[in-house]
Amino acid sequence: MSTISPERMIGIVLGITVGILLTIVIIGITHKTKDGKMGKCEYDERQEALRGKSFKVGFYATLTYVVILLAINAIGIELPVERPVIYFSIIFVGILAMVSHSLWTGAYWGINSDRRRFIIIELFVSLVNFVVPVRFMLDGSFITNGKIGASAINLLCGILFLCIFIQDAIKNAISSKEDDNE
Amino acid sequence: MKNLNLKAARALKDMSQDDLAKACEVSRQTISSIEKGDYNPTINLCIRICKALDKTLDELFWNDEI
Repeated sequence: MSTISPERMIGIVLGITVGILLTIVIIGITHKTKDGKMGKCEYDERQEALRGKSFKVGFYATLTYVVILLAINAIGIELPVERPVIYFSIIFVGILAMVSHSLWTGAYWGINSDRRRFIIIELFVSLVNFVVPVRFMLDGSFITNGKIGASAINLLCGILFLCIFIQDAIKNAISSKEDDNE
Repeated sequence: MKNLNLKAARALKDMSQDDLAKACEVSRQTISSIEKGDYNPTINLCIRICKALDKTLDELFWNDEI
């Protein structure tokens, strides 16, 4: 078992703490509805039913991904990524599957959601998470001992938010055309 | 099965799907799904739609083919 240096441990704890605090701030900002008041996202009956299915899709996607990783491990292939990256990738796969399903079925945005605010935050989070690994790539510490380091978690997070943004933009363009044709 | 009665009633009142959705406190996609026949609303939503369009349940949602 490899030992983690005290400095790295402090860095990890600080990083997680900052991440949690930022998440709380972002949740607080995004919990403002269209009329500017603090409030929970409300979904209509059809959306609630579809969101239930989306969670199922996310669950089975996560399960499938874990099985694939276990199979890869079982046949002796060692992935050139550090363990934390793999653990987070499991979470991200589940989230992406769930969000994609709810987006395409029209159950992602609540009836009182402030879509513009959400998109700005999505892009901001995506950008921040792309900037962090770039720093590590520039100083050559993105890959250490032949393995992609933990900064790839930020890269995956950035890709996740970007995928959500792109899918939403495409869906919105399609919905606008449907609006015109109704 | 498409709900043409609903679409016609909405057009009669000169309401867009978005207008009707806001009146019934649902998303536009839900109204669209109901009109396309992709979603069967609950009785509560049916009543809200009827009230918004000044129609009865029979006029909007009765289906002889079922």
